Amino acid sequence: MAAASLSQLVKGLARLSILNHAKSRQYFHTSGIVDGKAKFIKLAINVDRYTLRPIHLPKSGGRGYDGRIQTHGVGGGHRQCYRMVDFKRIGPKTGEPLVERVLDVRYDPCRSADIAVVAGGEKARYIVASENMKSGDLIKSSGELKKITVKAIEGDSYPLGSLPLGTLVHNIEIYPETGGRVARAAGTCGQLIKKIGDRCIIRMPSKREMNVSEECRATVGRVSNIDHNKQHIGSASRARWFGIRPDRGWKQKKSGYNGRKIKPVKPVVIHRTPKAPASAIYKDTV
Amino acid sequence: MKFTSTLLKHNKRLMLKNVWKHKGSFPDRPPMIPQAVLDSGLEIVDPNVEEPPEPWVPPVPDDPQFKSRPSITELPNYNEEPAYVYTRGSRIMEGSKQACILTKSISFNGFPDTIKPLIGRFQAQDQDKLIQRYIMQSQKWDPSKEPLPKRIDTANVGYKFTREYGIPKKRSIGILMRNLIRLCQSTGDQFPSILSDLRLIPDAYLGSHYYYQGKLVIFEANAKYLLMSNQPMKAFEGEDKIDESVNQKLLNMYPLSPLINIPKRNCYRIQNIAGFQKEFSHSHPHTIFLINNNFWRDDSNQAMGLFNCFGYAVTQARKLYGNEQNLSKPICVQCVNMNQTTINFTFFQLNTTDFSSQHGVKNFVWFDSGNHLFQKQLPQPWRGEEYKKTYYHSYNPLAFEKLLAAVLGNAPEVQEYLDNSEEIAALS
Repeated sequence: MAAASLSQLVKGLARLSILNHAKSRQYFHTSGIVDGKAKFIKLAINVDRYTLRPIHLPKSGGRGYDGRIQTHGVGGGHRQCYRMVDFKRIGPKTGEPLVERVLDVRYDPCRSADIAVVAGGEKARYIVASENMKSGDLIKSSGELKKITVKAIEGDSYPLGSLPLGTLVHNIEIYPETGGRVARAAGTCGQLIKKIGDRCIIRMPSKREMNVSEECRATVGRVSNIDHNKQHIGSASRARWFGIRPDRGWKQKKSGYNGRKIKPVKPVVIHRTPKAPASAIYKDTV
Repeated sequence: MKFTSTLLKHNKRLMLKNVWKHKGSFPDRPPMIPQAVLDSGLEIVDPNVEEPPEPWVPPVPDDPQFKSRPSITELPNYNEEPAYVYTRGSRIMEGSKQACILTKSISFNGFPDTIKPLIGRFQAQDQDKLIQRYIMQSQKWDPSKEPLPKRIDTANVGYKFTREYGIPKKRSIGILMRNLIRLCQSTGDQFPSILSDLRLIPDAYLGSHYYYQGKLVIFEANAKYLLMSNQPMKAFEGEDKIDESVNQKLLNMYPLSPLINIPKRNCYRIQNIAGFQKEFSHSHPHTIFLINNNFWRDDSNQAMGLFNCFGYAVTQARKLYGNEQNLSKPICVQCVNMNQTTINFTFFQLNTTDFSSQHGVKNFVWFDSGNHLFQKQLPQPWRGEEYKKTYYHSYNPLAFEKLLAAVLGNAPEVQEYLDNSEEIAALS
């Protein structure tokens, strides 16, 4: 009898410590592993509440959500703020296109390209600025697929199917209405080469070709800040201000003296069906 | 290939790992309970079976620390249809241009023609000496020593300033504004109506609303001071100009909507409060005094001044004329908004309350901004010894003369005073 009551008492004590909701809300960390790495865990930014206000962004140090290194050679640097850049230039499928006015072209520390503040109706947002964008310009974004090609004006967004062949485009979608993914860095652009049925072939900034649906949107023109690749960092210490950590000196880049190996052309990347969304439930095991 | 002894050696560790991975099985056998324990009659508890957790109950049923926050729909001011709520903090994108479109008004620069000739005609006793003392009181002589916000100079961005202690901005503006209003009231020996006809009310609340093209817009504001009069203000412009305004066009801000940057909310109250809810002998709003404790441009502050004037005027029109759209007598309100160094004036005349379209009779607004009372030069220590202190210079009496003209513009004795002063000037 005594043993049973003792076991119940021990159980009851254990339950007290676990089931007190008031205590569990304070989020005590029991594991020593989390300590020291918790600062790298990403802050949750609510994307549904859109703001033009720059948001505080803690330095990741190349670490992911689990505190492990994902990208090497990242650390330190000047403080940065995150601006909610909208890559979805989705216009109406029928009727007149969405017209917006460029209010300002600004610097963004989180990317190499400049960003533009645009507003139309009751909404204002940031987008990636194109090469010759300036305040006061009117830009259109349309979702209508046209048989006769439209006149491509820089800064406007159209489905790839309604653009003429040979146009330079940036902020290109790989699946329709999912937001631009390709050619967003400073000075880059893709080119529309072919149209086969309801598919379009685009040469990416890496010179590789890509096969996407004709409903994928893209913005006409080249991304702003075209002289970005000509900028000279100058010193190792200045590279640290940008958050770039020194590389080890073991492997050196080969010069032209080493000769060039002619490699076969890589095959076309085909984007047909979008990936299934990742499950929202993550199960951790001990 | 030569088979050395090390190559021939079997990797036992890897082999065991593989066996463990594929063939390792751990059957969960039932526990063996000795017969002696079963016979003794003790209660047996299986440690592997988890008991369902007991539902937690707070020790006190109505403990506020465990109460969840009420949802939006449970709040008392909740409405299903959202409205545009303009408050003090909402800074609109296009400034005074947007405010003019929303209030259906045509803007003019400078003072209205009725008040312009009064500038510089009146003077308070020891005016210049007193104003310079007020400036020093607001900037230096006030004993408060609070930590001021960290300063960044655009001329030298990297410079680290030492922590400064002094008078906070809001308090400094408040002192200067209170003193300037008192100096205006000190002209009561020449113009007694300024003491009898006007009442000064601190922290006046404004709750107003109107429909802009069918959409509900609500104003909520707090003025630092509100001057209220026992009679309505005289119109700034006559009927001829009002009739002319039918042909004039409003400004355009395509493709932006004029309601951009005015936040939409579900929690609001539709109210008509301009100063007092109950009846009061001095019930006509005359001048609104606002403090610009911000870093906005003059244009944004003038837009705020216009919205405040408009809110008071619309509420007054609803009170006097009901739902009449073209007002028989226009309603006039003026606003003074002040910085630490600068005074801005807004004069508003409400001719119509028809906001369903952009056509027809329009309202009028006059903006007079950027009147520096004095210049303030902040320290820039990297430039040398001369720049280590704060300097106050370029005192400009015109800014106060404009304020005095705006406050006295409606007084009945003004015309007599002007006639007399002309006679005296002609005699001398």
